Amino acid sequence: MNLQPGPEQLKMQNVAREFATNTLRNTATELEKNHQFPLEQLAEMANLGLMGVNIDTKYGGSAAGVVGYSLAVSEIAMADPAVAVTMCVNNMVAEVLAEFGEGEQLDHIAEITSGRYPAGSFCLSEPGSGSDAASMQTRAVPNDDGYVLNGTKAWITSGEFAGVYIVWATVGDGGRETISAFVVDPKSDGISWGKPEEKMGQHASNTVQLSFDDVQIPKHSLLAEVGHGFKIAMMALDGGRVGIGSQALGIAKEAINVLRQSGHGQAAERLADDVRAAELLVWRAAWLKQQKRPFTKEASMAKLYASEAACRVCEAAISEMGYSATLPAQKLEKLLRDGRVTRIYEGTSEVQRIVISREVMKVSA
Amino acid sequence: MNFDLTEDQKMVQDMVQKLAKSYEERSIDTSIDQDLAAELGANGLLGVCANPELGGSGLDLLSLAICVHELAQVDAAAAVVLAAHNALTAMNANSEAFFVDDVPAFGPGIPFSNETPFAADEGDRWTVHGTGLVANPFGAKQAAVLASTNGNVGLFLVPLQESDSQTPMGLRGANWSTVTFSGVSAECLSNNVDLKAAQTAVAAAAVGIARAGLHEGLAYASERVQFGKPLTKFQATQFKLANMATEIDAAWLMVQAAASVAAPESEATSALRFASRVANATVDEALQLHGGYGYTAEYPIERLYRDAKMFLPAQ
Ligand SMILES: Cc1cc2nc3c(=O)[nH]c(=O)nc-3n(C[C@H](O)[C@H](O)[C@H](O)COP(=O)(O)OP(=O)(O)OC[C@H]3O[C@@H](n4cnc5c(N)ncnc54)[C@H](O)[C@@H]3O)c2cc1C
Repeated sequence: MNLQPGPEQLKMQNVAREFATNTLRNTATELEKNHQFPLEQLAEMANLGLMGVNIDTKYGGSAAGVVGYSLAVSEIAMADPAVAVTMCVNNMVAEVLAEFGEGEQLDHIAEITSGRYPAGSFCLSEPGSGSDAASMQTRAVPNDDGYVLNGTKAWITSGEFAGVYIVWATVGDGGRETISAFVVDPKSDGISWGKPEEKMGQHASNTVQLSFDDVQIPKHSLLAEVGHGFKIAMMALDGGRVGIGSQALGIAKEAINVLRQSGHGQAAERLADDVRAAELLVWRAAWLKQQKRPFTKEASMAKLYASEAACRVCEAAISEMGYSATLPAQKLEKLLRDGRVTRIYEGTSEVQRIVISREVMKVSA
Repeated sequence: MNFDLTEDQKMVQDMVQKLAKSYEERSIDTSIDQDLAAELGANGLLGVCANPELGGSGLDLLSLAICVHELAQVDAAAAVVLAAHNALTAMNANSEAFFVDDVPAFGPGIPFSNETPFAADEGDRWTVHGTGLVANPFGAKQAAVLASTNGNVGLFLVPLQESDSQTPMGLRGANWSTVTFSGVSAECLSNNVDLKAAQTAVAAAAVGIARAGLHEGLAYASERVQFGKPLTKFQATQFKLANMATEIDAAWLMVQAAASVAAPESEATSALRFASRVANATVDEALQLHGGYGYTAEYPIERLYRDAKMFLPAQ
């Protein structure tokens, strides 16, 4: 057994760390204040290979594996959690395309990894269906030219800036057995978005509601087969949870750093135990995914524990440092505002508990 | 033993409830409504415990806690200002330094400090040293500052000069800035104050925030349907609601106990610590019940969550 990252993995971490230190640490405050989408930063990150960390080099990826990816996300999150979530969704979309795509669908991957697309979007949630994604209302009705999409997707990260969407819909009048995923051009007629959500944190990430109003998409938009969509979404989210767990881990680590740097070393040591536990859970999930072994339960544990620990640690740090820590200059309040959503997106903590307990009970059954 | 409020206390509760309701619809995350302050003053709520001869209402500490608790359910920033102001008048019950219908700024000390400034007795005058957050919703020219004096805590009136305006995580309507006192001359109102009233009143604000959180969480969970039923039909939700309600009741009992005449200052310290924790835990769960919607300014729970964070250092 060896619980330490290897040289290739550390290389990716270092690339991310350098960029985080030299660039993101300097831009995070302004981006947050101006609610500005980090186009320049994302382009630079693509150049560094951070938009396809676990993607084959034939698609312009870094082929640095899932552990390398996890380490990189944490580093980015330490400097700017909003940029980290955008990076996570980009990588997730690229991975879904690489795993399930074929033909022209695969061409989008290099657009993401190269940064020619600033982002890709994962369009699953709807205003009325979040945890219960399978009860989605968006419909894809087949016609001679392919499908006509109608519906509303909510909370779409990078929705305004993405070069490609993956959109989930039921086919025809079908129920949840017909849920399918489609690769959609955001410039298609009939797609529009509302003004960005006014969020508590992560102001430099873009979150919009998308409307699909009689959107004609070609036949080859269909990813895999009709009815495979829900499984694709769940598999993508297992991987996505490694990403968000890594993001939360970065936030927790940064809170510890802030404590250390401001002379609260003892409190930092005490809280670091919680963060170390989170780190091991996150790394194990990443490693299992990389080994192509089952990792559903472990990904949920990683995401659940790391996100809860991130908020716990930020709160404890604010308690420790006192009122100055409630001000923007101290970073902790931003870390907490940014971190709070890690317990909500890509499956709430309650949903992770449902997944974990289901897996646990499988074993005893 | 008797857990009921007196008739007077019920009357006060009723009045503040009505008053607070009429302010419910306003935007409260940027500044405290000036009309609200005026109305509080007109109803004698800026000097709840103050001496009637000085224009105060002469009510007991529990009445003050009730006022703060009710107001906090609508506007936590206003409630904390109300708590602090009343605590100042209570601490300084017989001084004419405060006019009960004039709200001074309040600064490092009440209720927000763990880097308490200190005051030095220079023989002919006092000087105050330290730095901290000051809430100054009404543009006062001087701040009431709690500063340590040889092991005691004293109350000082300090002129306010330059200050950097700040947007802390929560209670933003109270209009905050950071100030540094580097040996400014200050008027000493008391060199040994009892913090019981301040801590009890601020704890009441924390309970009010928690109660508002439960209210919002329950309302949302009753309406939101996932997996074919309202969230309130899930036992996981029911257990959360039960825990929230129980902790809120415990916190409010702590505050009521601390407000009694016989309770020592230490009981108020406990109540504040406990209520601060409950406010944070409750509002956190209530936000979680909202899912993604709780993370947006569209729902009051987002503000309540940030407001509760201002009580973290007290817990
Ligand atoms: C900033 C942000 C970015 C996002 N980005 C994306 C994105 O890019 N793409 C995308 O598709 N989605 C995205 N989401 C949506 C996110 O995944 C959902 O918000 C999340 O899945 C929760 O769904 P919901 O908000 O509808 O809450 P709900 O599902 O309505 O949940 C409300 C509450 O009920 C609880 N609950 C639900 N069911 C149960 C149950 N059976 N038992 C116990 N408790 C239950 C939940 O845990 C939660 O506490 C984003 C959300 C946010 C806030």
